Amino acid sequence: MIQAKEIEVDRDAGNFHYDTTYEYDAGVGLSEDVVRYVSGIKEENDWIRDFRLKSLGIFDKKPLPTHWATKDLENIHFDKIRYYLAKGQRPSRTWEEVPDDIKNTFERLGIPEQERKFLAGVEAQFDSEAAYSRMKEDLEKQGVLFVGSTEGLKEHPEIFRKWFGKVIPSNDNKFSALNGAVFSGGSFIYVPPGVKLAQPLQAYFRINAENFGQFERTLIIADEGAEVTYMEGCTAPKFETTTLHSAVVELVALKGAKIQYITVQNWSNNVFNLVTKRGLAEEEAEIKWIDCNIGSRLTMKYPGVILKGRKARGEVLSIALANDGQHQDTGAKMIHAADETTSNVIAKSISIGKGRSSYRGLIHMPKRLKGCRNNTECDALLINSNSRTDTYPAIAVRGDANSVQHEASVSKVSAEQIFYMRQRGMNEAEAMSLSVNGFVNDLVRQFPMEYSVELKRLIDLEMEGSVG
Amino acid sequence: MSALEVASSRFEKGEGLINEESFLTFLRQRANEPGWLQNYRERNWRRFVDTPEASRRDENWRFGDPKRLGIGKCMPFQGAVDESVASELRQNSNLLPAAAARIVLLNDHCIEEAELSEDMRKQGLVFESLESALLKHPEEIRPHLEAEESDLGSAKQIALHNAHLRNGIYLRIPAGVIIEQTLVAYHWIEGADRAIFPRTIIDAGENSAVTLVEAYLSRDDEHAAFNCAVGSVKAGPQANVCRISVQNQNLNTASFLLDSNNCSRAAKINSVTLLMGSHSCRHESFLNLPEPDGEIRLRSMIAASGDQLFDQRSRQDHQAERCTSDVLCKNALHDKARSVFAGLIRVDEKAQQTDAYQTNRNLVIGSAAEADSMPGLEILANDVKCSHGATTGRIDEEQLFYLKSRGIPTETARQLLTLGFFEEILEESPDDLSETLRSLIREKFESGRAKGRS
Repeated sequence: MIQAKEIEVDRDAGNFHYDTTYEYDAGVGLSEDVVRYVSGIKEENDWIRDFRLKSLGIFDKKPLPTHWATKDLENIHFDKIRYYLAKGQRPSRTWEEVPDDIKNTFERLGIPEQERKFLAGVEAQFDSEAAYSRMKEDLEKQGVLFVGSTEGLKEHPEIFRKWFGKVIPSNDNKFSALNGAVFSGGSFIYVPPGVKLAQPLQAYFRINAENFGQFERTLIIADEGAEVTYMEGCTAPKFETTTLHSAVVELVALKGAKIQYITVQNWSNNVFNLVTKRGLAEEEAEIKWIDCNIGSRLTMKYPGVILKGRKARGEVLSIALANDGQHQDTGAKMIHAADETTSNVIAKSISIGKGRSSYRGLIHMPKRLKGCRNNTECDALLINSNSRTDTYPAIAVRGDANSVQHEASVSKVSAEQIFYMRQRGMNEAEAMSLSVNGFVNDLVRQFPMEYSVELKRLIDLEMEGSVG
Repeated sequence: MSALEVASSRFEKGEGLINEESFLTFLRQRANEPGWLQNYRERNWRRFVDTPEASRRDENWRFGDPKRLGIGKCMPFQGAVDESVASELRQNSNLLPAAAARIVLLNDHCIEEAELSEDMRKQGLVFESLESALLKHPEEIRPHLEAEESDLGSAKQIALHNAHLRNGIYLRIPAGVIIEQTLVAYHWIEGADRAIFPRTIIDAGENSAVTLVEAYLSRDDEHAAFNCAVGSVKAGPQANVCRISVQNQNLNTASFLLDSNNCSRAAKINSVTLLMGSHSCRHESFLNLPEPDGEIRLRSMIAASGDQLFDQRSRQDHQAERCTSDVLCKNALHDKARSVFAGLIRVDEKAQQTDAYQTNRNLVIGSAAEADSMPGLEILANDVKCSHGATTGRIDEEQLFYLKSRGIPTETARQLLTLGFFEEILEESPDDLSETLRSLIREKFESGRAKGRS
């Protein structure tokens, strides 16, 4: 048997922070005043403020979901969190106008290069507000909107109000209610009928302040026949105390539209990452979540698709890597609500050291539906003898005209594989790394090129020194 | 009559509701029991009262329906047994005519004790009703009753059972004894609003082997009843125990079958459950593997029709190295029947080289039937092979077409395919039993078409 050593994880790529003076600061703790303050700075309309206050009420009433979820949630001190911090209100339009310290942060994270190279638009969120936002001009000409949540609701209510809070209402869960009360930043995207974006849109989220909670809100609407790919990345420096990230992401794919949403989450490992993500797919539309969780202390994220129209298709591809002190509680929800809808879930997790990864899934097919199909595969790889993995799917199927299959397996890197590779001259660490990369390879290949290269590198890095 | 007498007489007639008063009456009537047993009942009654009602919000009851599994106004029946009914039921206890020995219980009264062969007696086999065992050797039974319980959500029902248990089956096989022939026990319910609390205790010594078949049956179709059966199997080192349970109670019965299996070093337990009857049934099966090299298999089939509900929970608890567990649950659902499967494989940090599998297959035949499936894994060791699979689907159109093209009517073809679906579970039973079961299933799906569709 291979004796595996404790793995040291290098998350230092994002581990730096700048002392920043904030112009707007909602202070510590959550109250009606804080909500009114946030709403006030943003000069929001009454209906948005009322939405926030109603959400706050729901948040106060809802209990934590600890009857099924981990008790670690009780370690979030809602009264010690700062709910709103911002440097200035308007996102700067060109790179030059961005304040230097913020610019340095993003420079280190490599965002501008990426944008220069191939990205269609970049939205970078620094704490509560988008710091830098720019769109390629030709996109604007095509009528594509790519704005922050505040701007989206204020300037384009005719487009966004109709769907805002509809896919994920505030009373969906305690954290979506919290987001509803204090949301700030995020991306609001509208792609007009028939417009197919060849390049992905990208956003970058970063938490810079200690004890800070980030609550971005994203709403993407792809009109009939439109196609869009959206990528987000997340980082935060390591602070002494824990930080909370609680986003709400709503996707709406109208008839025949396609949305692909890619997340690479690499928060530092004291961030509670509690995110609600759900898409609504109309007739023949397709929503695909590609979700990669490497960082955070506790991630609870179950991207879902409501398959509302005939022949709609939903897909979740998920990779989770849990190292010491981390719990990746991820999964997928597929709500079939029309005939001939199909869904596919492929989840792969790797647990290293004392890391714990969990899969939680829900497949729902009510009666009266015909020809619905679901396929779910969950594979877990355990590296060390004290690693842990769980799988908790729930499958509810009614009627005799649908079919569902679910499969899960747990394994370790086989000693035979390692032996084979060592025979051919690789050292043990290389062999291990190759084996792990092989385990996730078919999923990684689904990622856009630059992400899959980055992921492979990241996995190599994490595997370094895992065997001795 | 004094208040107590009134209560006693009502109790004997099996009238009223289970409550504090009825329990105290029950306790007083059994005042000649050993003190520890009376204390045990009282302790459990308290626990029953203190445990909150299960709700669908409990993870252990997700998708389930605790309301459908209530005791209603059912009561344990303390009165005298009608001899003509008893002889009729002895006659009808014929699932396994070739059994080596049988015990027949009626409303928790023993109406036939096992006649053991000379050979079996010499070998020291004990196979008797629990009531008789409690009279003859109470101290031998005591540790089995007081052993730590494991429940998968029905703690309240187990407490109620413990407070009221009177009878059941006690089977003890001394070390090294191998019983080749099958033993059988029948648990009949007769009359209106009866509650039974049968307990099965199987204690297999080192290197022993035994097979026990138990049948849970109703005499009549129309009467409401409540069954809360608790069973425990303890297999000593290298022992080999096979327990087969058949539940075919009437459609007015709410039924609990709460099992635990404890497997010592290198022992084997094969647990087979065939569920067909009752309007609502909850089956819990705990598979405990505390010592190395143990092996437990659970094979289960559910044939459901009408608006029956079957709620099945299992847990494979691996605490030691090199154990194997394998759960296979196959459900066929007609009409608007529902099934819930919730299984968990739990592998402890120490339990390296575990092999654990779990499979749930649902065949949905009725257009309003529902199958809910929650297979689960919690793995804390890394050198393991664990997997689970769950599928829900309909009868394969091509197979149906094949049979139809050979002149077999659609309905018959469907039945054949359903029976074929169950075959891998049925073949686990002794031949004569599996033949009887096949005809029971056929009968159920035929009469179910007329009766269950109300």
